[in-house]
Amino acid sequence: MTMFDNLALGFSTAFSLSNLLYCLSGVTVGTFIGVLPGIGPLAAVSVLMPLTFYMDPMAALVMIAGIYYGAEYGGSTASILLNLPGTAANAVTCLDGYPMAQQGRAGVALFVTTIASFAGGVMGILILMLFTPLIAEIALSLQAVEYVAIMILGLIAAGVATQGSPLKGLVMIVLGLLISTVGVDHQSGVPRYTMGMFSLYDGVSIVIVAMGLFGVSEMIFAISGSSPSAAVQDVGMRSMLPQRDEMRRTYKPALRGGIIGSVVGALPGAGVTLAAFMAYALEKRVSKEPWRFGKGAIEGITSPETANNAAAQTAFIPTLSLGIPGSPTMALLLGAMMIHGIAPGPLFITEQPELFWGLVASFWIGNVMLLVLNIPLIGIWVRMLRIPYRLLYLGILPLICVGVLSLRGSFVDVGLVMAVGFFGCLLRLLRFEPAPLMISVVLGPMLEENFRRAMVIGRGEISYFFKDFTSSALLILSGLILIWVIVAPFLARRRSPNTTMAEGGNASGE
Amino acid sequence: MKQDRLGDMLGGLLTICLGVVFFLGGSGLRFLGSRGIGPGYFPLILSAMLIGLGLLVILTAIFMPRPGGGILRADPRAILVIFSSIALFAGMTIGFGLLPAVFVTVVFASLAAGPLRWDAFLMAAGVVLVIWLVFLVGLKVPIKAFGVPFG
Repeated sequence: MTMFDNLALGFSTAFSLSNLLYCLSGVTVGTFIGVLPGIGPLAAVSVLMPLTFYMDPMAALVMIAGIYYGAEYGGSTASILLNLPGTAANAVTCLDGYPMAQQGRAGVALFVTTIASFAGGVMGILILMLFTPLIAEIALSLQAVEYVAIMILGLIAAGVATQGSPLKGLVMIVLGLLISTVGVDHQSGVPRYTMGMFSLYDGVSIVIVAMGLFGVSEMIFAISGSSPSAAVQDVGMRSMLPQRDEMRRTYKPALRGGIIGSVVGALPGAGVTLAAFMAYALEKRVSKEPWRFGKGAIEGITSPETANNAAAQTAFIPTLSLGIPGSPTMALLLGAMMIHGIAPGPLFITEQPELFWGLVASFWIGNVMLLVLNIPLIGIWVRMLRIPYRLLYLGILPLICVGVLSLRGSFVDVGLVMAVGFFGCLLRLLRFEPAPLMISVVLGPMLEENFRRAMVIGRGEISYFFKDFTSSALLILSGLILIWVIVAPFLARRRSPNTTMAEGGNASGE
Repeated sequence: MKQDRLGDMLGGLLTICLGVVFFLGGSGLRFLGSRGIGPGYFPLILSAMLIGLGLLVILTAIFMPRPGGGILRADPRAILVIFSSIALFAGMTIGFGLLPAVFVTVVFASLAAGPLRWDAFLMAAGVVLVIWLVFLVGLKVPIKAFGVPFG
């Protein structure tokens, strides 16, 4: 089948009334939580996971995906109007978006970021359509050792690329892997870390982990840090049209941003935030007038907004072709697939073509819907910014409570969410960023299974991992990253004994 | 941002404790199996890695404190109210059914951000409506709306 046949198949599934409805609700929820600072796509998907269990798999995937890429559209609104990033990936948009709003060009900024988002989305989807089937085909011939090496590299990258201390990110990765070993071991039938509780024999549910870590504990810190709602200026359609000169300035930055975003997003673990920051940094470097940046340069919002939307789409490449999540939210998407009995991995596309191509078709539909939601209807979202967090969390908390109970009607699960939530608070107090943990909890069983298979083939010799070229190269690369993470802080000290702002810095804008 | 190592020091300590707990909890598992490695191999190696990483976090905090290595502040009131309201939700659902539980939980949870205001009741009524429509009418989740659940 050619790509067009596949896409036609996809559109025929995606254009059913119910799937269109789920796509629309996904992107609407995505825009909503993107617009509002204080709740991001990871928390939103965590809280809404139980709903997806009652849907058919197609609807579930379409909706989760819609929330994920929809959030990148909405995220720039608060950056521009309030100087508060709607999601972490939009932090860099504040730098030039907020000055533009102060100069009375908020409408133009909102229009341009939406168009840039759409351009990024289109580029991302095109690359996704080309490369996902290709990579899946290559992945079919991967040996267990190579799979293990790819997963190790992906996990290390995900741990290191977090905000804050990379070492603490790695702690989260290892902890997540350990959490994934809880339950009956599939090969030997031995229960591990179940403490005699039968409800733990199936392992710790990823939904409960996600709800506790990203629902409950994030909410508590958001309440602690929330400020009364700010004054927001109204934005009308008429103020949105950019001048010809401004349009001319945006083509090339958008193209560069789209390319960077597509590449970075496709790397397992790297994610949308890194893509946006890299795109901004590049734009500033190639610009002939770098002094304009930070003072309302239109390139400074175009490039990162194209990049984060492209990255949000290409994050699906490793997720759907290898079964290795491109971001914590993608880990939840994989979790939802597994709960519906769909095995993620290289066979997914060939075994479930209508699901894969239906999802791709829904990306096209969803991005067009987002264009409508974010340009003619922008006024509604701007007014949403006036909702104080004081009322917002009152809507989130019952969703968590009822959602957990709806999993299997067990009050033990409610208790577990409280326990995980409490642990999550402890982690946040001590400045751990728990997002990478989600990736390793989902990937853990696959890593252990392949590791064991490789050890059987290699007759229990660890050296077997270095007999294969691909796996040794990937493992050496992983090792180098690890050494860098451990040594870098000490090197930084030698260079500048007093100022350490260079390392860690303030990338998140927090 | 000033340099503060308390968060990193305690974080490292927590990591080591978790590593030790997982190591002891998994020490009864067989390290090697009949074919290849046993159920204990993966957990024990990971626990050891956790202990090592914890030590590294502490060492780095001692010799190279970084900005943002301190403790994040949280409002104790928010922590207390949110956890109590989840417990309250569970208790209320057992006793009175889902919808009354949601209403009371929302009103109570509003105390996390400040004193009780009239709009909390309005919000609670709205949330009850949404929960009823989405979970009970839409998804047909088998939980009783009123009265003793699962009865």
